[in-house]
Amino acid sequence: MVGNEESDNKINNEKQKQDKSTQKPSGNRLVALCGVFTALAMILSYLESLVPVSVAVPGIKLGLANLITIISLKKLGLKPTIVISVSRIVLSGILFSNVAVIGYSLAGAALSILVMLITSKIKIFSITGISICGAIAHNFGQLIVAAIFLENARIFYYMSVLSIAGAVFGCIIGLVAGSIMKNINL
Amino acid sequence: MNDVSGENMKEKRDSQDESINQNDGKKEKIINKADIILGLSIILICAVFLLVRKIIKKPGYTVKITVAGEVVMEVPLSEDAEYIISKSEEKYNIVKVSDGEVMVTDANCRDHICMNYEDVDSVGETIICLPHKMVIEVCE
Repeated sequence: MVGNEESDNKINNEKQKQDKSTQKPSGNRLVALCGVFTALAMILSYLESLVPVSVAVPGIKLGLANLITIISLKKLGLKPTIVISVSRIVLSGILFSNVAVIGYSLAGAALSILVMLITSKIKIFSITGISICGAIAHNFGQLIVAAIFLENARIFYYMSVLSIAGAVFGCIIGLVAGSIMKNINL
Repeated sequence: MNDVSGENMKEKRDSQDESINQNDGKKEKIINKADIILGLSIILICAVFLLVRKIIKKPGYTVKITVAGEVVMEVPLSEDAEYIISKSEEKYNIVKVSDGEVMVTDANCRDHICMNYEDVDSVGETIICLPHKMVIEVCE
């Protein structure tokens, strides 16, 4: 008898926990989380800027801030992710590097978020694959803007180098994002 | 007595395991076969592409310099010389050809990425100064 009650309570608790974790935060909680995520993304942007990556395209970086973008896309949804990304790019560009980078980063982030959204709906890849796709899309977006600016398509040859880096770092970031989301409850 | 406490411990551990899994609703993997195939094939394709380019290296003959899509000059790779590329007044790059290689020795762009290129001597290789919209390409 006692055993049955305990297991009933357990089932109720599990249901509540499940509801909490699959619901997306809203209202004040959402605003606060957006702020926290933006701040975290900016810190990651700063750390990235310390590592010089000398490729022709300015703004090519390790993609650490993509970590926040992925987690935000899964946990908060599309609109908060867009807000967080745009804020992070503009603020980081002003604070940590030159303003020109903002244009390339915005294009890269736009394509990256779009691709990650699509791949997360298709459900072939797990989070690591989504991150890889996002990283490569980010580089491609930046190259598109660069090619338009240069009025020269030669720059797309860099896609091969960037894609290797994108695949490697995308994989790492994806694994980290997956581990974080598994072990931390929002 | 010992049996009861053992059972309690097991229940505690079970509920803890379940609560960790509850965090994502179901037991989602963070990496699966499709991901690994995707990552490896991208790396493989790009690596092959780069290797092929490295192996099929043809020594360049002329250097074509474009600024904003317009060809500004075409110079031979065989003649050692220095050229000043400056389409607008505030922006300049100094392009030097020596020993069959082309390089940028000075520029007033912000990041000086263009000056870091090395060993640009084969067909298809490029030096790009993005802020100045300058593309230096080695041609046949």
